[in-house]
Parts: sequence; C-alpha cells; structure tokens
Amino acid sequence: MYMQVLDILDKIKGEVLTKKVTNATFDGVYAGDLLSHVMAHAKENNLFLTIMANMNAIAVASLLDMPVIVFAEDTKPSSEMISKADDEKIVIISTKYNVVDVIRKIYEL
Amino acid sequence: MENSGKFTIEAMDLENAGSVSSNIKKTLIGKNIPKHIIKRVSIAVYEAEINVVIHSYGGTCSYFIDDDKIRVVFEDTGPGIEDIEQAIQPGFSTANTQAIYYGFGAGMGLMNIKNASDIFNLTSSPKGTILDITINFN
Repeated sequence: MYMQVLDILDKIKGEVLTKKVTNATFDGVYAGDLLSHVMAHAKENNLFLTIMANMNAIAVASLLDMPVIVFAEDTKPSSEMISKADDEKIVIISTKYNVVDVIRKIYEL
Repeated sequence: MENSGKFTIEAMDLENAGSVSSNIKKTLIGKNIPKHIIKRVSIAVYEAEINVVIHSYGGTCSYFIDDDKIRVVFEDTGPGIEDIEQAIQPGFSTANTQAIYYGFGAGMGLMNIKNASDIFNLTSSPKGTILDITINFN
C-alpha cells in the first residue's frame, strides 16, 4: 500500500533535508544498518529507515530504487550526501525518534 | 550506450563506493533490460565493488554486455582470500573496524553475489582475486 511522504512527516516529526518532497510516495518500510542485508532484502519503493548516515546509504537506496531515506535518532547526513540524494531524486528525512518509534508512528500502532 | 567498459576501484575509498554499480545500472536502464534483472546485477556488482574497496589493495571492474547477458569481472592485486569456502559462508567476515563503521562486514557479500548470479567463479591467491560473474537477461 503506497503512502505519501507528506502524510508521515508530522507523525515522525521529520525534517526534510533534500530540496523538496513534492509528491514522493513509498510502499512499505525496510529498517536496517548492515548494508548487505539491506541489499538482499529491501524492496523497490520501500522507505529505507536507518542510522547509517554515510554515502553508502544513498548508493544502496539508489541501486534498489528506494525513494525515501529516514535517518533515525538524529543521525545527520553530510551536505555531500544531501546533494547526491538530490541528484538521485531521493528524499532524505531526519528525525529524533528511534527506528522502532518511527515504524510505530508511520503505522500508528 | 556502451557494451563494455572498465573502471578502477581504489582501496578503502568508502565514500565513493557504489559508483561502479551505479554506472552499470544506468547503462542497463538505457538498454531497457527488465527491472528485476537490473536489481540482481546491481546487488552483485555493488557487493563485489565493496569487497574490492574494503578487502583488497585496489583493482578493476570490467563489464561486457551482449544481447542475452552481462558478464562482470573484478580483479584485484591482493592480498587474496585465504579460504574461499569459509568466505562465502553467511556471517563470516574479516572486515575491519572502519568498514564496519560504514555499514559493511555483515558477512553476506559473497553469498548475495552468488545468489544474484547465473554463473559465479571466484579464484584467489595472495597475488590477487578474480571474481567472474554472468547474469542472463532472461
């Protein structure tokens, strides 16, 4: 089931760090930090939820066609990462919540 | 669109890792290869690229595309894999702290490559490792 990025922003108190969200959507969430597990198991259009704020997170999201990355626990991507995400049309969001709380809030458990 | 190409991969260049796989993915998109095939190629090439970055002294990646398949060959200059059977086992890793800090070292890389490939050949000596994989388009 597709969800709108705009619809989850308030719930997770997310700050969008890339240029714009427009009408970005995602289908399901994959949470993980070990990138080989992400490569093997995440699916196209998943929201990628992680604390692994380095360039490789952008590379993995791009290779798997994941349109949104949420960095949990206030992990902050570098300006190079944000610019790379803009190039790849990936939305980057930062939130203070941890991974479990982000998932709970997205699905309103 | 190119049907072949060669890239240099620098050792421990963790910030740029992923550029080879990204490049090959874009080439395949340009050739209208089915998405699920592109995903398999992306997984295999990314993992192999990371292996060269975090485990070797540096190396190259060459790719060759024809009508029904892509062959990708990674060659590095050492130090080699001591025990290939053990290295392929899920969970086995020799990644260093810096690589782990970047999210690598799950010990899943070679198995991900093997699972994504139709042909998987890995040979290694202290002078270098050669990974030669092929993914069919249908």
